[in-house]
Amino acid sequence: MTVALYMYTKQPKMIDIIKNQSNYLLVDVNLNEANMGNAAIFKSEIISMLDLHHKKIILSLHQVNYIDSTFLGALVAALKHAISLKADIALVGLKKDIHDLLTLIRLDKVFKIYDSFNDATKED
Amino acid sequence: MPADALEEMLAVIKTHVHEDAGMHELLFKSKFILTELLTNAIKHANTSQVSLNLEITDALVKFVKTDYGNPFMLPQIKDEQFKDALIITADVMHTLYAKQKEELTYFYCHENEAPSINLDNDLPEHFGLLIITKAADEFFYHFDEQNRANTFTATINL
Repeated sequence: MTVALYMYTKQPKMIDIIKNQSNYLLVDVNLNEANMGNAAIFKSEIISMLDLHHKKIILSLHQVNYIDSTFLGALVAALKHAISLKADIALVGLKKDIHDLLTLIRLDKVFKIYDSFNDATKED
Repeated sequence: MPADALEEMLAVIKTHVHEDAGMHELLFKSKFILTELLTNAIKHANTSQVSLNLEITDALVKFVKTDYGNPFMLPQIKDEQFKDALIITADVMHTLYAKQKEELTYFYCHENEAPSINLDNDLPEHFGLLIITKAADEFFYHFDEQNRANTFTATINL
């Protein structure tokens, strides 16, 4: 008797929907390094998510410790797409130096940034 | 830049700079200058051969990145107000300039005073040079024609 044993390993997705509410999605970014190596895939995945759900995305970056300009460009491109759909992208869980970087280049005036998920959903 | 290599360089800075020198801000600026210098080399110079030198004195921390890829192409749009400045990018939030001084090209930027950021405006999607220009106290580029070497130098004053 031959027994075939298949093992499936689940690859973690780059972005995961943690909560799907009527007016927003809470989405986790499963990256330690958000950089030019994964920016294009991230942009394409988040844009597909916006096209499918047509609602505000609260993006949790609490796992991200390193970020570069290419990934920031992808975030802005995704925000523009969200605005064109009358949706939005808000950011939560930013590490202090990533928050400071956004402030340095004034992206804190472009994205709504919240300290916590609860703060991000207060007005919804 | 791989995270472990970045952390190694930040550890060198931490070891060699006096604690009183505003360490938190220095490490924050250094982290993103290093990240962007190497991202720029990979994205634009189209080369895998990059060297990065770190110089630390009592007065400054200097990052010198050299690659042998494509030279940096300067834009040819002159600023109407500052005739000797070339505009690299201009958007609702910043204007990024380049200014030639002998063989060096210095980068600097101006924050535009838009009353509010209108998200319908064209927002920029390229931030590499802007990050280094704003994080560094001085940032310039040099092209050595003989050796076909691009050198970007960013300095943080202590």
